[in-house]
Amino acid sequence: MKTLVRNILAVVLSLAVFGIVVFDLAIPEEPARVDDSALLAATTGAPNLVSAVYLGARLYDTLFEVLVFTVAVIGVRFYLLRRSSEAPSASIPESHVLQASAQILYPLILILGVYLTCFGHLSPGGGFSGGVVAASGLLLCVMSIGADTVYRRLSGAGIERLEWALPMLIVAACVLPLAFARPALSNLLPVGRAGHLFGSPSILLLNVLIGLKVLIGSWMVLYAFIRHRGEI
Amino acid sequence: MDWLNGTTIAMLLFAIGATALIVRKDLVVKLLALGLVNSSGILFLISIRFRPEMEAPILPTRAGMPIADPLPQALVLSAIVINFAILALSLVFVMLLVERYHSTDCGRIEHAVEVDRAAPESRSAREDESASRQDEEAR
Amino acid sequence: MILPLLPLSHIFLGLAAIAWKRSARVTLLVALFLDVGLVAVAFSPAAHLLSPIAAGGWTDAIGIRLALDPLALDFLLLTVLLESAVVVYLWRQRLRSTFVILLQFLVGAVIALVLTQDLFNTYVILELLTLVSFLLVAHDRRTLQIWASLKYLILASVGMSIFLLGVGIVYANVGSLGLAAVARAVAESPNAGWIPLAAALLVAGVSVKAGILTFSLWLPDAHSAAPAAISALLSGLVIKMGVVVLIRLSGVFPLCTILQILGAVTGIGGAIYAMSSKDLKRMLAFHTLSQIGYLLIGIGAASDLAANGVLAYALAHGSFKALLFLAAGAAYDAVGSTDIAELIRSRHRIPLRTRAALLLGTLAIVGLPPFDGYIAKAPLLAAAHGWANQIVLLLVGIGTAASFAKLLPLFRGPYRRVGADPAWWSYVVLALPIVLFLPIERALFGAAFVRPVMNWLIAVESVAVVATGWLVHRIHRRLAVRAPEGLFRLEPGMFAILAGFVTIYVLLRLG
Repeated sequence: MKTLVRNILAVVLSLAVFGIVVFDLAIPEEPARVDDSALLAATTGAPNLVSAVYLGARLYDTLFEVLVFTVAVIGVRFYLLRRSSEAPSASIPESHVLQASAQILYPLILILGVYLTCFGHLSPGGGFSGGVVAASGLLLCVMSIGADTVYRRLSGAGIERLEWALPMLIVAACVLPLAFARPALSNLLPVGRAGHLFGSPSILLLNVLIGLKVLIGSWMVLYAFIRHRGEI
Repeated sequence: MDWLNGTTIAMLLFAIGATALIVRKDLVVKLLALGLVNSSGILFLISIRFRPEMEAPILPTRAGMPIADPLPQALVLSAIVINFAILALSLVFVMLLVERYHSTDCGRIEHAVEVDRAAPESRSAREDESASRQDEEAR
Repeated sequence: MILPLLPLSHIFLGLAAIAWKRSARVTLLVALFLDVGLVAVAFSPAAHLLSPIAAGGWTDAIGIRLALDPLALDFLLLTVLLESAVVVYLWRQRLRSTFVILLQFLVGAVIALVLTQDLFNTYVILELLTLVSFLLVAHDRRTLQIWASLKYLILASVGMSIFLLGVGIVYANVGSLGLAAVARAVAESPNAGWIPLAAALLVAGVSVKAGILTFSLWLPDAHSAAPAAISALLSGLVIKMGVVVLIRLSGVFPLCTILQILGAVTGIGGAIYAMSSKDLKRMLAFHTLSQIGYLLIGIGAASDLAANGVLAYALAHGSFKALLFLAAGAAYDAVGSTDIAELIRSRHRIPLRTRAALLLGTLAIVGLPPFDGYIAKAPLLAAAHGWANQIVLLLVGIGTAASFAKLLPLFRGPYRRVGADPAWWSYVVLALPIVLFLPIERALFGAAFVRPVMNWLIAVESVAVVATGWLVHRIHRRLAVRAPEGLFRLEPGMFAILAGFVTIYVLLRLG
């Protein structure tokens, strides 16, 4: 009986919140914001205005967001990867169709991730989405050759060091403009021809750094979950 | 059909998520509901200035067409990453709790935690302490 | 030019602590020196280096503005104080690099939050603070901590989602996310339709993190389960961040009545729960809820004296609450339990210095005259207008004194020297502002501010409050009533957030 009262009360409260926001939402018809797309594009050199905003005007926010991601990766690794003595048995799924198709597909997905990252200032994309796509490509690779093999090969290439080096590089990219007598968090490298791949090199650099960071971080999180649980 | 826009659906998702967070007892379902609540906030943020005739904010656009505001889209990127971080970390903690109490039922876990707090000499609490001491040595 | 660099330096040093594992202590020291240096620059003639700036050189309409106003300066002082106490506390302990990097991120995020003047930046930094404190609370990996921090994360994210809804509505109507622009828009049309809803969403969202009783039902468990240094930081510093956001919001929206009501609820409710609590750390956590009530009533009073009083009280509260939490941690190490009856029974095992620290903290928190609790409360008592506010403040004071009267037997009895307390130097660092608060206040706020302190009426009032509290404690002990503790679970927490938002909205609509 008490549970029923509680459930009804929960539904009533949630509907009250719904009703309040929906019926009291007053949005003005004409846009309150001045259209500064020309200014954005000119200052950062990026035709994709969303990139110009989050890697140009609001870079400070994006920096903290990268930190949130870093903290998440640190937390997942700290709490899950502790018993190093435990030998995990992350096995490869016994399906030849899956293995064969994964081996063909994962390079394509990785290339798609690289494309999204590098062309993020010209078309929709950017570091975050590119990094996540590339990480799912890595996950497919895990399905074809097994998590431990992938982990061994990547760790051998020094991926652990990149995990803290990349945020440091991002912070440095934000601070270095001071050395050129420009304010911090502005363009590091000069703007080139708009619409070109290297037309806004600082945004390209930031996208690449963030894409790598998201790729490595997502991979760490995925590996921690796989190893803690055993199999995919 | 003026009612059926993004903000209404976003608030409906919020209400569903909030209700599920209270009503359902399983911790994993509570986490899904939390993800739903966060996603509803994101949907609300994008759809609050949406109009069907707007163009994507990538120059060059067709002359005379209003451009969609790029700022909320940039805000939403941050919100999505934060959502991901919250879900990943809370899932880790749910996994740790399930390991110790062998149940995903929220009421049982709360009850067990309160019993452990009231009687620190009980057996599960002692297991708990020795487990954390083992972690210290393993590092 | 320099302002964005300060949080960035903390972030960089935290990453360096992970990169070079032996450098953890050095990074803590370097960060501390940088912060002290910044405070010194702020008080020196070179303060123009720290002028307000929009990050990246963008305009305020689309960029993020950072400014070091008196609010930020006061909280920087608090940060420096608590940071030095924690660094001293941790100096001799074995440090894990994960702990150090999370600590650096915490301090960096706190500094970034007090500097920022942008609504969405506030949201991102608050979420970062949530995640970092969530990870730090559960650091020892005891089950109690894991459940407490999970509850904290779930409730805090729901609160932040509500805050995000508010940010969206503000942006749609104002077109900019900077606080100055929003304040201008509200001042131009104070009866606009979007203001009550947006303000209700923003206030309800940030109240979950600000330690207001009906919203922050996660607080007693999280703050009492955390390791000692983390509890000190959380209660002393992180919880004030929600209050900082409320202060900034109150400069934009008309929130005076709401804040006074919330302050009354959390002040009295927290004091009642503290009176019936039998565990030392839990009682301290309830007190945090209650002292936030003082701050909210001060913000709601909306005068210069009250505003400075709020800042002073935040600084004072940070100092004595951190002292109490660190001493409680040392007592737990000595006795093995934080139960008050158990501590009183085994008080001969607690080092003398720990008991002295607890005594100093108790005297400060109940507001006895020469210490900083009294000095910081006096302006609030003088500035609170209306008899309702005065009665609430008196009741909270009586409740505080009544609950701390429980600890009196701890200071009696055998005074044998038992062992060394490793946290001794942290106590010294924290005791400095407790004892020397008057000159600090005069330097920060000017001589006019300390006049209420010298008022005999307020001094007598404070002593009377403490005496009444002691009497109430004697009566309460015979009655043996218990407040319902089932309120601090996950589902009541969610209920409270939703119901609280609806209540705030209704109250704002009615004017």
